[in-house]
Amino acid sequence: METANQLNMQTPSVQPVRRTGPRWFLPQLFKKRSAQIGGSVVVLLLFFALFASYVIPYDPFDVQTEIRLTPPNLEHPFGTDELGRDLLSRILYGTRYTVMIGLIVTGIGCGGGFLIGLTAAYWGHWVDMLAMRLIDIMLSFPYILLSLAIVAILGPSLVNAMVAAGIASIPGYARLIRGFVLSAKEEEYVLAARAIGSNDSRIMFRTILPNIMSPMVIFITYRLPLSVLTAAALSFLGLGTQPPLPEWGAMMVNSRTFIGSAPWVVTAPGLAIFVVILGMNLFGNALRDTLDPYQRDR
Amino acid sequence: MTAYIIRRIAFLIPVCLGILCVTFLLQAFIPADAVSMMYQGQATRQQAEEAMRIMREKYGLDKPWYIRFFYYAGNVLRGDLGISIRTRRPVWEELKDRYVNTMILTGASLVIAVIVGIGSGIVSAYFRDTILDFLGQAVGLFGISMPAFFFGVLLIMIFAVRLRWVPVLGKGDWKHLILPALNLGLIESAGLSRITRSTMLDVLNMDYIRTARAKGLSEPLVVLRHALKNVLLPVVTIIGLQIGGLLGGAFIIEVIFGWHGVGELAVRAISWRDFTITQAIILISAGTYVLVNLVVDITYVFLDPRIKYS
Repeated sequence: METANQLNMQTPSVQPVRRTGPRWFLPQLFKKRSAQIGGSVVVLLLFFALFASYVIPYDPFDVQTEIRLTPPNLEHPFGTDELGRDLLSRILYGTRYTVMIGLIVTGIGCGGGFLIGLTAAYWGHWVDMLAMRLIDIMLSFPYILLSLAIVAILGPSLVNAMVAAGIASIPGYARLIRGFVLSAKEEEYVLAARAIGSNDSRIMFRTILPNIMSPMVIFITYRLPLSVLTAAALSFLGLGTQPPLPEWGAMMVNSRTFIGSAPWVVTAPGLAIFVVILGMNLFGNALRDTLDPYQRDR
Repeated sequence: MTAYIIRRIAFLIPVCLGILCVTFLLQAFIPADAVSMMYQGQATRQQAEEAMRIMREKYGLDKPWYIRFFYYAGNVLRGDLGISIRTRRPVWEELKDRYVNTMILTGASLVIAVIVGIGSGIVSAYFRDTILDFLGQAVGLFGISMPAFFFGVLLIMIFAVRLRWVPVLGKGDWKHLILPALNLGLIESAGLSRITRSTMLDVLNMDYIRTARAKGLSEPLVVLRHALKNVLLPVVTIIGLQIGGLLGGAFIIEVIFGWHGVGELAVRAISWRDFTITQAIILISAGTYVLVNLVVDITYVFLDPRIKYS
């Protein structure tokens, strides 16, 4: 009896360690050096995407042939391109395209994949079979090849490149989301939702969706840099953004002929893509490590 | 084992049919049919119409879509991929040399990716949390973040323009292959290195590795004979998937290095709106990807005895 009393007295002092929620998650995330570096890159990218017009030193479209191919100097820290346009201004202005591409490609891929994956897993039977065979066929095309095929149909442009990369990423999302939903729909909370009379759409969007958000975020952080890279590659191939828009991939293709005489024209936009993708990957790695319990406890 | 292989080959049939459907569907989205594009503004009106009628009959373009599909599938099975809208030569004639070139580039890149990726993954895992591991992981992270086309430009700038060790562009002797293969192989090795490292870390903690060490085996034997064998299965899966990345990557690399492969032609064909070539390249590349994955799946039988005896 005495022991039980002692136990009862001790119970309130033994607090379980809370390992969920933003108050635990955010400090854990930003404790990591990779999250700090990657997060800074992503924040800077977003800042310039929104406010580049107010902070860039020169007009990114202003042609000044008299200062064409000027090497980096104090006035033009990244130099000027073959038409005398300031490269720093063009790169900072180009952040908006990178952010737009990332958001739209991921939106199309994730949205399409979510609808297909969720419907297939939730309804099962022939819907599932049909959807998954379709996904299998789409997955038998390498990602960039499927993007190229779609661009071939739609024609080369920035919007079409984004749509192509988005559609090509649907199968990956769909298959993953189907897997998550298949395991989530067997959980007791779904049974509970059904027991209290929730209809199918409520169960899908209000019960299952919030519970698969964490693995979905992990997958999105993995796919986002790939989407940006693919769209930049399509622009580099001349099948995406068209001149004179200062999208980084397109800037590189226009200046490739100056590799020998003015290497900065190519290296500046190339480095910009590299730094942003590296930042996204660093941040994504930190996010995965924090959100994924298996990685966290390793 | 035979049953497994037969089952795996049977699974190819619906996938190949699906690929045929997708490439056939490409035709449906084209604004005008390939034949009218081919004879647009050419010869006299009467001659052009006569030529167009003959071509349409040959390729079944005057028939309903479901009949057209059978014409298309039949022609593909016979190796007739159509006529190029731009050059008016049979597509296969345009493609065959380029296909070989692309396979050479992809093969050489795969060898580099496997050697560098698996090698660095093993070293990283074995020397976990040391400077070697840190370096391996940093290089891996750089690899997955580096755009292949930027890396290619850097390689050209350093090794072809500044140092003049290798030719800048084109397809000639083996020297032309070095930079493109390095470019593609090193970029693809990053992902492979990461998977090898994490699998190796799991394997090195297994009881059979402890047993091998307890028996007194030397460390190279433990790693190369006991651990590596068990690492290979998931790694081979990833290699199979990476063939897709290599084939897709080759499209970009070929453009950068002026390598005369199907990728370079595909990009040109899209700009020319030469749909028959684009369609054929997409079909051939997807077919190659599916076949390579079949080969990968069959190699499992030899790598994993559980499949052999099941």
